[in-house]
Amino acid sequence: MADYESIRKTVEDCCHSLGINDWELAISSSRSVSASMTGREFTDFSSSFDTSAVVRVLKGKKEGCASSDRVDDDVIRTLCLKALDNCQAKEIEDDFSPVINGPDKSYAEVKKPDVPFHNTADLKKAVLAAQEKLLNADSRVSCASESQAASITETNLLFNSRGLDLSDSSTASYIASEAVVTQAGETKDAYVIMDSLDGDTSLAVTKALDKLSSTSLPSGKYRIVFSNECMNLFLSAFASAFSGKNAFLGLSPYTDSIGKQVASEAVTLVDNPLYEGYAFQKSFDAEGLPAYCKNVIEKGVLRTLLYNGRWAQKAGCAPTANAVLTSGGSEIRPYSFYIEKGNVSIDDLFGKTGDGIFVTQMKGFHAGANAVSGDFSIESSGFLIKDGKKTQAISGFTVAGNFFSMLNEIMAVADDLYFNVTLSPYRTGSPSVLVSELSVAGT
Amino acid sequence: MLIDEELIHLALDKALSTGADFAEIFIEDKISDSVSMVKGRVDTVSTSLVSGVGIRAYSGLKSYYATTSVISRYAVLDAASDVASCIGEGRRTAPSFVLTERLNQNIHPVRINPSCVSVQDKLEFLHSASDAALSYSGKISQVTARLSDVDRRITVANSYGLITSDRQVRTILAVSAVASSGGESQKGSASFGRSMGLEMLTDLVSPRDLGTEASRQAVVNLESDYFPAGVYPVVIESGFGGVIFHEACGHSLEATSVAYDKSEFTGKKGQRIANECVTAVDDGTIPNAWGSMNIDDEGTPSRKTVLIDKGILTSYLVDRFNGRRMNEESTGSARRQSYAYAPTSRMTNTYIVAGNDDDDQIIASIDHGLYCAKMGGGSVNPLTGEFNFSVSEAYEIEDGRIGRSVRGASLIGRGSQIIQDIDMVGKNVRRGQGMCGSASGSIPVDVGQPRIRVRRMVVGGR
Repeated sequence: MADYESIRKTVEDCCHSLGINDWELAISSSRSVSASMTGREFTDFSSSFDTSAVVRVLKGKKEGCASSDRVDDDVIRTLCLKALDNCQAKEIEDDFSPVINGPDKSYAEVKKPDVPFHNTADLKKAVLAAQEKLLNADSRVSCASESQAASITETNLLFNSRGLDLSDSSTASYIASEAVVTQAGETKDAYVIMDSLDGDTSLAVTKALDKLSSTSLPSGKYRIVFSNECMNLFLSAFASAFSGKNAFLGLSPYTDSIGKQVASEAVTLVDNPLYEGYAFQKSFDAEGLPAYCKNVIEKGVLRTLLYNGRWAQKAGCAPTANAVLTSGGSEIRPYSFYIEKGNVSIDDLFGKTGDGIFVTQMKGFHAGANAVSGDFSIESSGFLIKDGKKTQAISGFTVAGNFFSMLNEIMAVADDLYFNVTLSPYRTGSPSVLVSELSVAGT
Repeated sequence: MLIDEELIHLALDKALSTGADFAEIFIEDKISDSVSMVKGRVDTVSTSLVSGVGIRAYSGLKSYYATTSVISRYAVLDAASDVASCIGEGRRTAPSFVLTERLNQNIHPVRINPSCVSVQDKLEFLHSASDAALSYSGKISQVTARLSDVDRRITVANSYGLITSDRQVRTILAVSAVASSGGESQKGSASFGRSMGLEMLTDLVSPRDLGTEASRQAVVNLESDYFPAGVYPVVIESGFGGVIFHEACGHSLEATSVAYDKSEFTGKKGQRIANECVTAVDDGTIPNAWGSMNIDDEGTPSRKTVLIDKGILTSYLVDRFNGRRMNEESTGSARRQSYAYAPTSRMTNTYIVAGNDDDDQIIASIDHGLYCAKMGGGSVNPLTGEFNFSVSEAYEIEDGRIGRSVRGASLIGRGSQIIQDIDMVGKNVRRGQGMCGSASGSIPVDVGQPRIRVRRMVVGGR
C-alpha cells in the first residue's frame, strides 16, 4: 500500500511552494481480483492494484482540481500545478465562495460487515461451484453460460490544509452468472448478481427458461408492474433530476418544488449513506462533511434535493453532504438511493393489477431515457398478468411514458426492496411497483 | 516511455515463468483535459492523468491479466508475478525472445496539440458555440458546451519479440441545449470529434454551427407531438444513423461474442445474412477519424475489414486472444479504455457503404412511416440480437413527403432481421462520433451510413 502520509506531505510542500494556502487531497487505493468461467473452462483471471489522487486548490475565491491514477512525487507536483492552472482559468462566481472544511465535525460511527478480501483460489472455487450448478440445473442450459466472481478492498482518505484527516475502508465481493438456454432454435439469457461469494446465482437459469416461447403483444395502453430490478434502472437513469445543481440550472422539473407533491403517497425516496449492513457505508463526503440519511421524497412530497457545497451556496441552502470529488471538481451523487418498500407482496401487486404486464427486463436507458424531460421509451420483456396472475412470457415491445408523471401514477409498492450490486457507495434500490397506465408498442 | 526496455523484458519473462505460452505488456500514459461552460460561464476545468501497466499472459485458451498504476520496478514485477502465480506452478515452456521495435507510420497527423494550448484559448471555442446556441431562440433556457481532448501514449511489447508504440490525440466538442416552454423542457445536442488537434475547430467544423444545431434540435423537439406506437417503414438518415448497424450487427460480429457462441452470427461466415444492398466495413485507417488509430491495443496495425459484402458475411472483428479460440488472425481490432482493462475485439469506424438509391426516392417510396433525422444511442444483446435505439429528432412521413416533427420514438428489433429488412441504401455516406461501452470499457468510435430505408420496424412511442 502507498505511503499516504508521504503523499500528503508532498502535496502540502508543493502547494506551499506555489503560494497555495488552501488545499484538499483525496486518495483512493484499491486491490481487486476476479475470475471467470465460460462453460466448463476458466477463461479469465485478473488482478489490479491501483492508487489515485485528486487535488483541489483554492486561490482568489476560485477553486481548481486535477486527478491522477498514478501517485508519486513527480506526478503530485504536476497535479498541484494543473489544479492551480485550472483554478486560474475559472471565473469568480458572485454566488459562490469555495471553502475548505475544518476537522470540527462529528461523524456517525459506521459498523461495516466483517467480510474477507478473497484470493484467486477462493474465487475459482466459488465460480466453479456456481457454474456447475448452472450447467446441471437443466438440460437446456448451454455451454455459453458464464459466471464471474470478484473481490475488492479499498481505502479512501481525505486530507486538507485545515488539518482534516479522514479515512474509511471497505471490502466486498460478488458472484454473477449469465445463464444461456436454448430450445428448438430459440436462445434466451438471464443474469443474476449477488453481493457475496456464497450467493446462489442459479436463479439465472429459471429466469432464462421463463423467457422461452415468449410472444409479443398488441400496441396499446396497459397497467404495468415494474419488477424491483427494472424500477432500479429508472432510478439510476433519473437520479440526476434530484441534484440541486441540475435543479438550479433548470435541467430538472424540481427547481421550485420543495414541499410540493411530486409523487403518489405510496412513494418515499431515501438517500442513505449509512444503510445498515452495507459494505460501502460513508460517514463523510468528499468535502469532509458528515454524511447522513434523508428522505428526498416523503409520502409523495419533495422534502429536499441533494447538494454539495457549491450548489448549496448558490441555492441558498445547507449542503446535504453529497459531494464526490472528480478531476473537474466537486460533483453531486446520491449514496444508497432507494424507494422505501411497501407492505404488499409481489403476488398482491399482481392481484391489484388484474390484467396488465409484469415488466422484468428493460434495456437501453442510457439512450432511451431523457433525464431533462423525463420522457422514456425502452425495450422491454416480461409476462402478461391475467386475472391477477403472472402468465405468458412476452418480449419485443417498448414501454413509453414520462418518469416524472409516472411517479404520480404509482398505485402500490411491494415489499421486495432490491439494490443493484455496484461495489461502491453509490447504488440505487427499489421494490416492485404498480403503475396505473403506460403506452406499449408491440407488433 | 514510463518503464525501460530491460524492465519490460524482465516482466514478460516473469509472466512466462510458470508455463504461459504468450505474454504481453501494455504501458499507457495519458492526459485528458476538459473545459465546460454552462450558459456562457465556465463551469469546470479538469485535468486527469492516467498512467499504468497491464500484463497479460495466455495459457492455451485461458487469459490472465494484472494491472498496476504504481510505476515502479517492484510493482511491475509484482503484477507479472500475480499473472505467473495464477497460471500455476509449472516451468517455462515459451522460447526466449529478443525485443525488436517496429515503427508505425502515423496516418493521423496533429498540427495543434491540445495539451499545449492554454485553457483561455480553448474557452474561446466554447464561448463561440455557447453564444450561438443561446442566441438561436428565446426558448433556449440552458446551454452546456464541453471541449475535451486526450493525448494518449501507449507501448505494447510481447513474447513474440514485438515492441511498438503509438501516440493518439483526440479532440471533441459537444454542445447540449435545452428549450423550454409552458413548464416543459426538451433537449438537443450536437458534437464533432476527430483524432486530431485543435485545428479541427478551425479547419473542419465551426463551433458556432454546433451550437446552432444543438438549439435547433431542442426547439424542434419542444414543438413536436408524440409519435403513436406501432410497426412502420422507417428511414434512417446518414451520419450517426449508422449507430443502427453498430448496435444491431457490429457488436454481434465481435470475436468477444462470436468465439463463445454468444452471437446470432456465429458460424455464418460465407452465408447471406443481409439484404444484397448492404455492404459494411470497419476501417481503423481513415485518416484522423474519431475511431482511428495506427495500431490496436495489442500492437497490431489497424486495418480496413469488409464485414459484409453485398449481404454475405465475410469477416468478424478479431483480437489476438479470441482469435486463438476461433483459429483466426487478428483483424487489428483489440481495444480498451485504458490499461485497467484487458483488450478485446471492438469496432473502430464502422459504416454501411454507399448504395444506388437517391435520397429523395427513399422518402418518396413510403406512404406512412417514420423519418429518423437524428439517432440517439442504443444497445444490443449479441446473443439474441435484440437491439434498441432512441431517436433524437424525427418526422412523420405521409404520402411520400416529410411531415410534422415527432418525438419520444424508439426503435427495437433483432439484428439478423433488420439487416435483411434494409432494402434501400442512399449514395452519400456520412459519419458521426460516439463512445462505445463494452467489456473493455468506453472507447471512441465512428458510426456511419448513407440514408437507408428499413421496410418494417417496431417503433416505440406514445
